[in-house]
Amino acid sequence: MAIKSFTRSTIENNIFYRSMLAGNTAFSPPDESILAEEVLTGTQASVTFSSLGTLAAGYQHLQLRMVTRDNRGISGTNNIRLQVNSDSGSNYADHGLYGNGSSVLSYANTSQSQFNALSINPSNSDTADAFGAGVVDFLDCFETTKYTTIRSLNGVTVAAGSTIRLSSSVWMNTNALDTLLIYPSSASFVSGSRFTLIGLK
Amino acid sequence: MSMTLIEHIEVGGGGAASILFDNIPQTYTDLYFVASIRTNRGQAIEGMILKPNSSATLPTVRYLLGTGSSVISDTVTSLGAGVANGASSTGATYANTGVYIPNYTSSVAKSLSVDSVLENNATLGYQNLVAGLWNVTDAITSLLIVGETGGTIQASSSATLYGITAGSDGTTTVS
Repeated sequence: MAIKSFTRSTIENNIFYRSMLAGNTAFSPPDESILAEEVLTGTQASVTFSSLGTLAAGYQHLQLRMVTRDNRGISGTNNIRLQVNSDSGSNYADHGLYGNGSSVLSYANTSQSQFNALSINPSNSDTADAFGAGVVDFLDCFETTKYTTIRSLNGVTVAAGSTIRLSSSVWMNTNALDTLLIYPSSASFVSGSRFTLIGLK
Repeated sequence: MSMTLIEHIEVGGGGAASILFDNIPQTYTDLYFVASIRTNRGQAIEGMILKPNSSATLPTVRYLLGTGSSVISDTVTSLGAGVANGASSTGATYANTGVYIPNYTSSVAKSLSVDSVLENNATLGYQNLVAGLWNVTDAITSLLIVGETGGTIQASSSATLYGITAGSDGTTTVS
């Protein structure tokens, strides 16, 4: 069946095209757009965003916003981890600057098998319904001339150890990002945890 | 609130002495830029200077810096655009920086907020939080990013400038 331009066709000048795009204004995605979002309705061991090259086509950078809590049976903060493109080799380094309410500290990890500190969250024995939050930026993550450096500002307030942290990691691989695997360092995410992936032109 | 891409700059094969956003439209409320920069300085780190309007008056900044093993804080004029990787850091690794400049067209001094990280597969790595003030009343029409030691910005470095427009949903009230 011939395809008709939605904008240019009238009863009088019935123009048909072989493409849906012909005659119509080219679609341009917004400069900032939510590409995907997952809100958990039960416990879940991990969350995966995949086919990023397709999902984020036309975008230069990605931002991940997270609100999380896990079901560990103890009180205290728990790190959220990240693996890129299913790479579990020793291809990550990470560093962090954090404050715990009484002091400011810095740490380093080299040749890791994941980004250890993507974000941070409380657990089952902490204040009910308290969640940790993180905003993570991936710049030029589809460029294949450089490694991907990840920047995360994250924090949590719990009685057993509130933390504010600027953490980062480098994934030492020049491949474009295709998959993000997000998981707590122990236990599972609980219902209500939210993961939002945003594209930035 | 909406976010609009103003310009994305990627440094080409020969490298560059600086990155310049020029002729910035005066139609937004705030500015935000992200930068992914590596220089050829022979150290792991290069501080990145921000020069609004290419002014000789630089923003003064108070910073908090984690080094991977210690934390320092000071007041300088050299970290208005955060940090960048230098030549002795892990190859192919570029820093990741976000800079927010509210009310850039105002006729009062401009504040800025920076969070910036420099990764390295070694103990030495940098996490940098900055609060700054450019004590000039001119509206910002350009932003120049340059290394504090004059290191050449390497190919594949990039910077992306966005305009932030304040909005109203028609229901939220401010008092």
